[in-house]
Amino acid sequence: MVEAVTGETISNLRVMIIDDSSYMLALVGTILRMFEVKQIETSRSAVNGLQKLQRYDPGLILVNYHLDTMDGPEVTRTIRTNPGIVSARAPIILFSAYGEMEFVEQARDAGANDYLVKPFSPRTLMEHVVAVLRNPRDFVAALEYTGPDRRLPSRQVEFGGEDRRDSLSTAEQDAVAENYEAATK
Amino acid sequence: MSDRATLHPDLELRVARAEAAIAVIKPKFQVALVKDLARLGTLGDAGTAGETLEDLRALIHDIKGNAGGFGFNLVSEIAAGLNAYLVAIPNLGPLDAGIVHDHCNSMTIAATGPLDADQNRQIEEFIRLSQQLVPKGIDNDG
Repeated sequence: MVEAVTGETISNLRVMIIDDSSYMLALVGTILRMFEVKQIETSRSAVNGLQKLQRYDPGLILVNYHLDTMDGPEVTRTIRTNPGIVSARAPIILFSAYGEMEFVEQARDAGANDYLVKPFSPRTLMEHVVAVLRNPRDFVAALEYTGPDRRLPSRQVEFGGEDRRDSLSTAEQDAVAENYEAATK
Repeated sequence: MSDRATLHPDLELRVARAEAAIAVIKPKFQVALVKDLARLGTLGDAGTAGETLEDLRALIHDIKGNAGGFGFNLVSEIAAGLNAYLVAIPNLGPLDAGIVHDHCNSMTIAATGPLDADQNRQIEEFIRLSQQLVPKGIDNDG
């Protein structure tokens, strides 16, 4: 996990937005500029966006689910698997007006890091961007799936209580041992 | 799919600036939104061709997704009700033009506000009724 996502992290981010709606491009572009993201590349079509990604190497890709010739998951899958794409491992956030779980699962299975339901506020977008940058995932390239590791990271749990492993009296320990031996004879 | 994060204070300022910027561009989007709503009304009148239903679905889906982002939350909510209805029906029937029109009128009122308390109550009541157009479990669109 990256310790902190600061203003400098966001300012240095290169972002690619693929969306066929000029309004959404304008909205998300405005929000990102106010976030002080200096390098923003946009595309209004899936094909054009994928072409740009053959030479542009963003640190974050925002893709609308609903596009012209390909949908967001198809674009995501292409980014993850096409050897011509230089940013195959960049975090991808899919956004959509579709809020149902089946769409979120399609995005996840295509290799997206995150899913954002429209409409969203600047705060929500910032929170998702920060969350994705703070939690980089290992990259998996398997036969049926290529993308960020979908397994939850193992949790390291700090034990804060008293050690009670010695809390049985000698007589109790003997009784436990006897019961065990009796049960396993 | 990812955990929420606490924002760095510097990022809080940038969020506030983005919210202020949206307030600046909101009137520009409002002009386009009103045009889209007029187009929606025209499509609703256009007839019962399958193509028209697809056009209606695509347009209302966009309005739903875009309007809320620019701060037209009531428009987005009304659009969500119409969107769910249009996705649930197989084709446009004779009563559907009226349903599209009623939604269009409500969205136009919500888009061109400001609303007084009475209008606000009426719009909220309309949203409540609109959500009942599609029985739960039938709609498959967000």
